[in-house]
Amino acid sequence: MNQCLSEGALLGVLSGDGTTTMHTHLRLCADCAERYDALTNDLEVIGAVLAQPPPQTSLVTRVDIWLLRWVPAVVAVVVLVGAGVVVNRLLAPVPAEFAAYRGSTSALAADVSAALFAGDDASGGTQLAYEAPYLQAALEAGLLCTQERFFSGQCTDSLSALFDTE
Amino acid sequence: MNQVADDSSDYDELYRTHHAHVLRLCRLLLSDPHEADDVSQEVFLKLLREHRAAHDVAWGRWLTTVTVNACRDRRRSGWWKWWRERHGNFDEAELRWMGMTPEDAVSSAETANHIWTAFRALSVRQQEVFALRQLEGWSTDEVAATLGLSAGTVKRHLYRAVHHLRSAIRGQR
Repeated sequence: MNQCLSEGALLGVLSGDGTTTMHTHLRLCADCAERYDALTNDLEVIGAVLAQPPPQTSLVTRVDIWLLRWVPAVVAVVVLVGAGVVVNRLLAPVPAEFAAYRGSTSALAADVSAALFAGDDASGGTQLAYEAPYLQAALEAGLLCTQERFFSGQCTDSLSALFDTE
Repeated sequence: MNQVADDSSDYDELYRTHHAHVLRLCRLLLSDPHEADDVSQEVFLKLLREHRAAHDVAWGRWLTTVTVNACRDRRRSGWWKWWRERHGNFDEAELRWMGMTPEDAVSSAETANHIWTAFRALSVRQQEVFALRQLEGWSTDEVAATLGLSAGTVKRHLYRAVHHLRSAIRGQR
């Protein structure tokens, strides 16, 4: 066997799987013997390093480990609580005052509207119709003015119209 | 009663004899010391159960096989995989090299860091084969039988692992 041994063959010899021919070549070939020694030395270094405890991970990594252990549990609890609240609301009984409106949203809306806008619509509308042009003119004229002068067309100051109503 | 005492005594003896070895193997295959501690405890719990039921077992070999399988199971965990991919680097400042000059310590720490990083970069099978074949000293056939591989596959995994690890050392030099 004149050809030098490959790295795989050298590893086989080192591991006890080499053939007689390989061993013979190794004894006769200085180059292969040198490579064999280098392989042996490297494996001793690797074995010595890996026999030691692995390097410690950093503090950040330890924090991440803690988060990885607890975040899923916290998320699961939050989801369960949220689901419980939703289910509780869906299954809770309707208050008696709203029971009559079950299934009739328009009836409820009509009653709410009536309660909000209850009052004398006619008088309110009249009051607004009476005051609106008077106030508008007073604001635009910029002159001192009374109600009588306003209606007689003599106003010079609109501000007085807002306070002087004789 | 005597039988129970004998079993307990045997178990304690097995624990004392093999605990360091099992823990070292766990740390080799898992790297994270906390995970390694957890798995080594699992392994000895299995030993406790098995020890009561079985006799005439080569417990050293049994422990190694169970440890390799337990580490593999742990590594299949999705969270573990995500964490390992995210934290592939080691903190070199934590390396402990006592009795060396600072220069030697730094050089050795760097070499160790390269070797550990290279070892972590190996496939799971390559790590297992290297650990059992090269560090535990098992034969090729024993490794093949334990891992459910052919002898040729074991040799290929071992060759690739050694080649990769030596490349890491040569890159360091």
